[in-house]
Amino acid sequence: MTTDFPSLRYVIGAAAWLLVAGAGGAIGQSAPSDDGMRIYKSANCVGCHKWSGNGGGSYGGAAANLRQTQLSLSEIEETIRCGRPMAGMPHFQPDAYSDGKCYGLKESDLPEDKRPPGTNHPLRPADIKAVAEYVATQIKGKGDPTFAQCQKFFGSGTRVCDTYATQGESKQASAPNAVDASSHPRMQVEAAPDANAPNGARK
Amino acid sequence: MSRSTCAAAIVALSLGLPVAGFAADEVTPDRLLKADAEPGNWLTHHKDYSAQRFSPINQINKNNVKNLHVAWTLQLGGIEGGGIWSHGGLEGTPIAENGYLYVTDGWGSVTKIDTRGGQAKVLWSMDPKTDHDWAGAVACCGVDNRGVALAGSMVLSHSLDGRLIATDKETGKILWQRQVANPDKGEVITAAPLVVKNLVISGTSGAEYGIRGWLAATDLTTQKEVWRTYTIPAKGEPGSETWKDSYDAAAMGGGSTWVTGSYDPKTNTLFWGVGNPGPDWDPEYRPGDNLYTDSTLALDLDTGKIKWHYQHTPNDAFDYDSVAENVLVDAPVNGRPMNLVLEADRNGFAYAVDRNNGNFVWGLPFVKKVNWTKGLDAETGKPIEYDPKADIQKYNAAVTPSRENAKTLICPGNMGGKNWPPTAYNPDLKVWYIPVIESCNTVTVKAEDPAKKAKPRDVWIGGGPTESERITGSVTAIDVTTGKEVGKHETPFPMLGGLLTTPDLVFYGQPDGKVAALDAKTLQELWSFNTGGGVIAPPMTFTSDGKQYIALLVGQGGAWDKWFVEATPELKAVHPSSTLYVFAVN
Repeated sequence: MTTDFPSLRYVIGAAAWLLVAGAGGAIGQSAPSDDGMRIYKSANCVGCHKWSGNGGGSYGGAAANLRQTQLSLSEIEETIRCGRPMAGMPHFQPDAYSDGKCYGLKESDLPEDKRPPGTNHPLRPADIKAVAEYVATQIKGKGDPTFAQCQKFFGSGTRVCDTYATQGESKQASAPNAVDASSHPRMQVEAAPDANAPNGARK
Repeated sequence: MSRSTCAAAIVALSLGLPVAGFAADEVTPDRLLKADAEPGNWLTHHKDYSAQRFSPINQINKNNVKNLHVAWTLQLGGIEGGGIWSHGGLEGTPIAENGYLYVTDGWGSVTKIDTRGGQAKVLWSMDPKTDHDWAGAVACCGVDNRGVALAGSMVLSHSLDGRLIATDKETGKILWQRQVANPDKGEVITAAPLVVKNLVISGTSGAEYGIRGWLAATDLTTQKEVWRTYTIPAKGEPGSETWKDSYDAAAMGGGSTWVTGSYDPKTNTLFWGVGNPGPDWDPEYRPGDNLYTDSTLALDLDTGKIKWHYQHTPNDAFDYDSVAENVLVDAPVNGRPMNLVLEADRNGFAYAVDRNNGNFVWGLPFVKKVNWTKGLDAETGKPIEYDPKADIQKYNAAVTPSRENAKTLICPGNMGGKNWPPTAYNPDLKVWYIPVIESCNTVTVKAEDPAKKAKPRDVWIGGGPTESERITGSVTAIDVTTGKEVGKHETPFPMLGGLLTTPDLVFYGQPDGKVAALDAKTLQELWSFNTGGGVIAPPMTFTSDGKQYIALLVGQGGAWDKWFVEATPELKAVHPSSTLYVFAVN
């Protein structure tokens, strides 16, 4: 079974490399904020807080405005880990209320309707840390969302950022890629006149 | 074409028979008008212009339905997320013509399937390359597409990002497309198009994003828009006096048109439901009756001019859209022959209205619990507490959301007694079946400030719902000749997919994956099967090689699993999927 040794050595080596990478951020690793953005997307933080972190009302209740949050990095991390009791924010650590490390509470301390919802897709501790850093450094305190921030989030192959564009940086900036990314040109609505306008008052 | 096939085609044409791959497959305006003359086909969204969703084919019937089994399945795509949505879902009704099926996924890809020979063969798929983030960020209630329309040799479809797309029926290539709705304003499209004569009608979604709703008609030859009817009248138009504020609330007044309508050729009238006013839960922001929100509209097909309207919930504080399909039925009511429009409203009441003038005929609650009103006025059908002189309607003031009564339990809940999933009407039994959400939920009001209007693409709802108790469902049957309930088959989950009826059966699906057939007379369950995915789409039926099949799309999605699942906790375990199921009896 000598043939097993090289592969075993490879596994050990790879594990060691991963440890180093996890601890210090190895060459070729993406920046923490890029990882954080990726997790912000894949964990569907966007679903309630929107890409910008503005949050706001929705069918599911109002999500916090992360741009205006006063929470520190560790408090943001705790909120992601533990969710928010009596609110819609889920806890992304699967066993968050098992040992009292979330607000000093255990599951039995919280009536069922006061428990934060769980999630079908919990996050690993490192992912929670990365997305908390992303919120703390890239969203918190950033004022109104801008066209450039939107394009950084979505890329330029979509019209989603157009409403943030000011004159000059505008729609042409993303137009060529938008055409590449989808098979249709950036069409505009050519609406017929108002069918029920009083005679002569159509506009 | 050889001389013999040409001769066969001529014979077939003269007999009125379809000829595969030839001009006879063109879906002419006349074929659509007479869709019922082709019982094995399902040519238009609601099967025919009356929106009855009744098929006379009875190869599958109450004697043999126990043998119904999966004939084949087909995996589709479109499950990916975009905008605020983690995944797409399937809400479409397949269209069937001469053994070919046309289905859509949530992002609007269209797939043509050859079902002949008892198996599925994909002929083509058209991917419209929908701009996921542009559209998905302003789709209030899911990544959904409810299906296609056929016209001539084209397949017409909408994309969530607001396009009307004409695809060549034979090749699957896009022939032309035009932008109908504008996601920059919060407009997206989920409804299937409706083709009548040489027009294709598009409706829009977006009342939760501050739109001013509309219907638009596009000429199939010129590809130009020939009329656009706004569901919120402009200043000076009839109905504009029902927006009494001083800050132009009407400009963001809502009134979406996100469910495909119906058409009466005798009077050349289009019937279309109009959704809720915006902001949804802050009626004090928009004093007045808020026409034409929460109304059925009767429109002249050629011009889009409004002939009459019937409003169900003036100054709505509940999110009770009247967006449902309007079912056209000719039946005697208490012995008198009537031309009716039937509508099962989100407000929990079923209505029959005279479709020639919009006069109320009968109405009744079809849900087990209504708490926002004591009932309907017997003459007008308006809620008993309705005061035409009041700026703000209080209804049952202890229940109606308002700035004073800012947290309140409403029944039905805001998803309504019935949402978009279509009803079905059996003309033999004169019984109308409603897919019901038996529900209450809690609404919290957050007053909107006229000085701080929402930006384009911002949500505009004045509050929001939370789930406070379990929500279930039912199939509720109403005798159209009396306006009385004649049966209720209760289900553990809400009806999120809609119904099909045949001479002696009613079919439905549930969001836990169950598909079932009921006896049309007794509502006893005769057959069921679990598809293993969530069903939020209506069943339909068609024939291929002369054999009857039942088809439906299976793919959890829509608004429920994001906003309402706490009321049905078991559904958290249902994963997204994207599958076409087709059933047969032998």
